[in-house]
Amino acid sequence: MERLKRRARASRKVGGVSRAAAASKRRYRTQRGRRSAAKGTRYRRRRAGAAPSAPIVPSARPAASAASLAAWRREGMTLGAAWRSEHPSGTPEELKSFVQERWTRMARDGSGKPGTAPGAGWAEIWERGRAFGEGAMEGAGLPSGFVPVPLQGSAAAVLYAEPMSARSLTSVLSVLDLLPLTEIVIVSGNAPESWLTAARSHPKATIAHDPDAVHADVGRALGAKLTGADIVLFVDGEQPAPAEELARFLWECDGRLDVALNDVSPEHRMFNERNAVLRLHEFLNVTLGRADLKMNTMASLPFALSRNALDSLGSALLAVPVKAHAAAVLRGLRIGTAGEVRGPSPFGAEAPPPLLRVAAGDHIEAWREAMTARGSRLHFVDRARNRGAVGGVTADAGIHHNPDE
Amino acid sequence: MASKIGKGRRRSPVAATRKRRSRRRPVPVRGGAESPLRGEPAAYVPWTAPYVSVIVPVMNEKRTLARVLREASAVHPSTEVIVVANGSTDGSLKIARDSGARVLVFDRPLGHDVGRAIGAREAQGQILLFIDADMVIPASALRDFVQAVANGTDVALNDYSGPTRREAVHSVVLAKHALNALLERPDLEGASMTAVPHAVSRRALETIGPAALAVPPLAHTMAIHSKLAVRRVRHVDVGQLNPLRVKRERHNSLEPLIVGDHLEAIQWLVRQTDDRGGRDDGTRKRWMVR
Repeated sequence: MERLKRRARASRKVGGVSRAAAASKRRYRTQRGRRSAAKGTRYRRRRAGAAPSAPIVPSARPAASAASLAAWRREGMTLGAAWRSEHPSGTPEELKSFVQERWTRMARDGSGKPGTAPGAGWAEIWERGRAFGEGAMEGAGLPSGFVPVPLQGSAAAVLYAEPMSARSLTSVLSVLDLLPLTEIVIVSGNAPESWLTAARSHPKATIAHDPDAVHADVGRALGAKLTGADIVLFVDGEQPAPAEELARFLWECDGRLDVALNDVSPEHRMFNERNAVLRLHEFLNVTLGRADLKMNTMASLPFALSRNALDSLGSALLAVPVKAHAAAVLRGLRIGTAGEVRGPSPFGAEAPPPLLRVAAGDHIEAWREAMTARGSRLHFVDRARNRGAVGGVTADAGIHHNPDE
Repeated sequence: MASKIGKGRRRSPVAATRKRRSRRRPVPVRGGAESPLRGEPAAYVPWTAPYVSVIVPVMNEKRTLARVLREASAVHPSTEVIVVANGSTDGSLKIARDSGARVLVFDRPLGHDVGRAIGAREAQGQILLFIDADMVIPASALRDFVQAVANGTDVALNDYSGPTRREAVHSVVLAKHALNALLERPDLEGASMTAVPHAVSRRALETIGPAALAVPPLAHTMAIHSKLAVRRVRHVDVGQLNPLRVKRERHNSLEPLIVGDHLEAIQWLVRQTDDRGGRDDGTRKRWMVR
């Protein structure tokens, strides 16, 4: 046991070597050296999993320990206190943008802060940001929480809100308040004046309201058009999602992905339990050559788009999310999953016929778009059939005339 | 395609490809006392059209063919069995001829499912039953499909959806389910004209045209889009019956072909209708975002 502890200490030391030094060392490492380094990594992982007293951080790295998080918190408090003495009447929003800017710069410079350096795992980035942000707010004597996320660009959230559910809007906004967003665009239609007043009282909200009812998809497309942010996060206006999950969409869309999707596959594990709409999503991905995306799609919330994706797709296309999803694949945008937000599914194992009807229409539009770009069989060619033997196929029978075939 | 050209009983604008001998011959009805098989029959009886046509595309399936044809001929007292032999070199052709079936011969493979379309074009029955030559399904099971069509179903499908109790299904299984969802028939689950056995009515054949049967998902889509009565009839576990195909899949997968067939079906649907296949999106007012 004692020997094991000693090895653990030794391996921790290896982990503590600065990134640049480790990189230069790696270049000269022998075969044997590489093997032992790998062993060390494995050992550290095992230890993190085995020790019950260790802080529960979902990361293989030992770096985000309780001690280091406390250090980040202290550093945040110092920053917050300094900011408060300079800005005695500063608002929470001003402090948040100050903390976000400082945190991003620290991450970019490295500044001896390996936790925010590129290559760090998301869990670690989140934990550190949270410790730093909470510390800063506390240091400035502000009660609200805030979690800075190192981002190169600006970020906004877009949501469509049912005008009748003011309470759920409040809870959704309280989660978004934790995130480094420059703007929150709330779209609604046919809302009462009291609801609008409540929505307008939010310091970052931009309200887009139509006196007539607005369809949720069209509402979000409209919201996307109204913001100029570099990353746009589309969230459910009814159902709050965990801040950590939402923040991850921003982080993934900051240079890694153009389209960051919600991974719903763990929620719908077995094929026979998936409804017809999910099957359409899955088959669309297969036919577009992206079976790896499973049943994940821009038609399910939340998702985030980079400025590149927004400019490439155009906001009007977002009114039919399935079609926008197909277009994103066809245009070669970088698409992947960013998080797993679970929520009560809008429908269970059976999709109600009216919803299936809209989903079917959306998919027909999406496939039409794809076939315009890739041909009728989307590169799934038929080389074997002798169609001449039956006089062509789709041209037969007169009633279904397709001259192109 | 070097095939034996003759004139079909029903004159068709495209060149009919069929065996010469069947022109004036009474269609053999197996099992009947007066049924003339080969050679001089005892006495001529007035010719009557068969009620059921069983279509069996054949390409080198001598191991199962005799049994398949025996079951096929027993589905109904008035049955014609049409064998569409294509590219057969293993003696399947002789087995087919000896069985008394009508045999259409092609010296090269026609490709997947094309035999079904050719057989259907030649069929004279009121009900057409489609089976494969490499899979012996008892006549008693086949009869349920015929019976369903006799009772008013236009397309009687095998209630077989493939293995679905798993996280990731075969893309062909997915394609069948998704196409049914797109056609707003999720109740059909993974049942499809892609799978045998299935039976269709003469009305269905005339609506969709025999050629479309060469691309089964296309025929399936046409049938549902035309509001024909398409139903699941009974479960025949073709996955279980066919270990040979599992082996073939490993070497020469039909997966891309069948996925492409489903896309072809979707494209047909798209062309028949408006942008959304006639499925309007209600309250979306797209002009709001331009």
